[in-house]
Amino acid sequence: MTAITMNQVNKWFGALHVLRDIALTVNQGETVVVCGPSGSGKSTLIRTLNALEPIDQGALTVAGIRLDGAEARRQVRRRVGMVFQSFNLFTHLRVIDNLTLAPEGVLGLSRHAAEARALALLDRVGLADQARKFPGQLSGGQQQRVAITRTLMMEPEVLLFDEPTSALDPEMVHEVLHLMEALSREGRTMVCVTHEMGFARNVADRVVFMVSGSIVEQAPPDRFFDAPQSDAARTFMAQVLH
Amino acid sequence: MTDPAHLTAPVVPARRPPHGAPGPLARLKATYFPTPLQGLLTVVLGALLVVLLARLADWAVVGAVWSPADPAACSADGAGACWAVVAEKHRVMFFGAFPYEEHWRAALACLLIIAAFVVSALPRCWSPHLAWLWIATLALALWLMLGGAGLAELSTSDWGGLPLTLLLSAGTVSLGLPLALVLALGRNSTMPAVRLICIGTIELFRGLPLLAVLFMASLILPLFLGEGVTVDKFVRALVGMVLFFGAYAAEIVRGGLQALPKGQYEAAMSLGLPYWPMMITVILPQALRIVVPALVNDIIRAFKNTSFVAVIGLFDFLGATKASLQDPLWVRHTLEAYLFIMAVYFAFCWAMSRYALWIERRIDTDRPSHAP
Repeated sequence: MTAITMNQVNKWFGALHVLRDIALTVNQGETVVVCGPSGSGKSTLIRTLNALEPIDQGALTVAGIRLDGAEARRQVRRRVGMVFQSFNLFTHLRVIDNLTLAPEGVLGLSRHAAEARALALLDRVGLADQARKFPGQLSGGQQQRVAITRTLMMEPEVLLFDEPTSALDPEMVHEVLHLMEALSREGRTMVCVTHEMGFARNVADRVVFMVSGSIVEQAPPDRFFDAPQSDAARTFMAQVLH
Repeated sequence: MTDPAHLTAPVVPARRPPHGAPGPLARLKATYFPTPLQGLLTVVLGALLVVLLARLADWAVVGAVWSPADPAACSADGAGACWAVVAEKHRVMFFGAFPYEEHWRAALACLLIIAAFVVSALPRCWSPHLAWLWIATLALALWLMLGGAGLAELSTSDWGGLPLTLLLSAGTVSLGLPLALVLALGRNSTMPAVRLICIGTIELFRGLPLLAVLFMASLILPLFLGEGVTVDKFVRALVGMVLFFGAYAAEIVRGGLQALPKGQYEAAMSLGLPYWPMMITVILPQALRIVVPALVNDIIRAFKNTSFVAVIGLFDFLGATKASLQDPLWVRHTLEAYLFIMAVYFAFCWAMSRYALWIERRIDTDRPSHAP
């Protein structure tokens, strides 16, 4: 079963051709890491997958829904969770309300059911005692784990991670990667834009390497890291691994 | 064993800072007598201030006439401030032409409105439910001011003085703010027609002086409504004030919407929240919090702007005072009456601006910095 299909997808920012003839298939249960030098279009690519960025050409099917029009966008966003670099927790709401907002408002869960689900998930990510705090009172790593939990509340079919550890202090990167690894192990479909090559090597089923808006290599991580085919990939690896 | 280039040291325990806080005398010296020249300036200006304050006290307190029993006393030689005029005319100043025996109703309406403002100012009361508070407050205030249902009936032409000022302010703010929200959101809308209407409204009323808006509301509006349809003078003034306030407040609200990090919108959208739930639960609570100090500033201005309605024949606090001073017995002592209402206006505005300062600090500490 395929979770995501991108077919000849193109996108421009003004005259800038940011996604070029993208063809990508992600299977259910697969963890795909998208990497590449900055400006290669990897963030734009992942943001098209829940329609935060519209595409100009091509076809995009996510969680069985062809992304065209407002209704499809709504349906896809319900089924796809997104984790951002800067967490984007709602700073005026307590952790518990950050988690229950969308399940109550979008899925129609009762307050009681939503809170029960939230507390169970918080317990799982080791933050049960933080439920009544405001996001600003948590460390970066804790905030990002809450943000991941917030997407899990919607029971998404696909999880998207847009550089989830880039804004974290080094000592907090680990706790977030650990949670992502656990999610991957339980068979969730995940697409991750990340510079964490250790994570890519140990957790990913496939690495997608982008340069200048194009996918230039796709391979299982050991193949990609041990025998990169393109000069760009070799240069990139020399830069990030040191 | 140890490499001589590899130095180690224990953690240094924390200590108190070396200087205690300077004493009050030292601070006084540093502020007023840091150098001989500045010390001299302090002495000269201080002496001047003492002389002026003494003369002011002599006029305003020592030689002042307080009792209205004998208006001639105010004109006597060497008499100071004639506060008697306030004692004599305060009812008319505060309540205008409102029937004397019904003044309690107007006073009660004023207190209700002030209470509603105070409750709305408390951060812990901020929620959409405030709308109900204001509907209830305005309904009660209107009942008190208009009568019916057991109270003697009055019309808006009986209104005047402080109740009129407060009713106009309360009406302007409680109707103007929702209008501002709609205009600000509409201005950001993706629907061209909605956006154009909102931009047009905002720019029109921001581009006109309030006086022109009030004249427009009072003279031009009736023309459009055609023969026989008369709109209450108070309502016409209120419509003008609401549109004027709404246009300015809309731009403030829009500033708050723009100040919010884009990630807040994206997070809400990526969770599948539709537009209105996203706005009501995520965006507006945060955006409005940011702009409360600026909005309070605008509310102060709206409060002071109510005095403009005098030009279309409404007797607000200032207008009622002016009218009350037509009395030939007191006509020579208008200064004291104006000083008094100045003090009342100042008390209201100063309280609001102190509140704005307080809320600004409070919001700053409330809002944790975004982590990265």
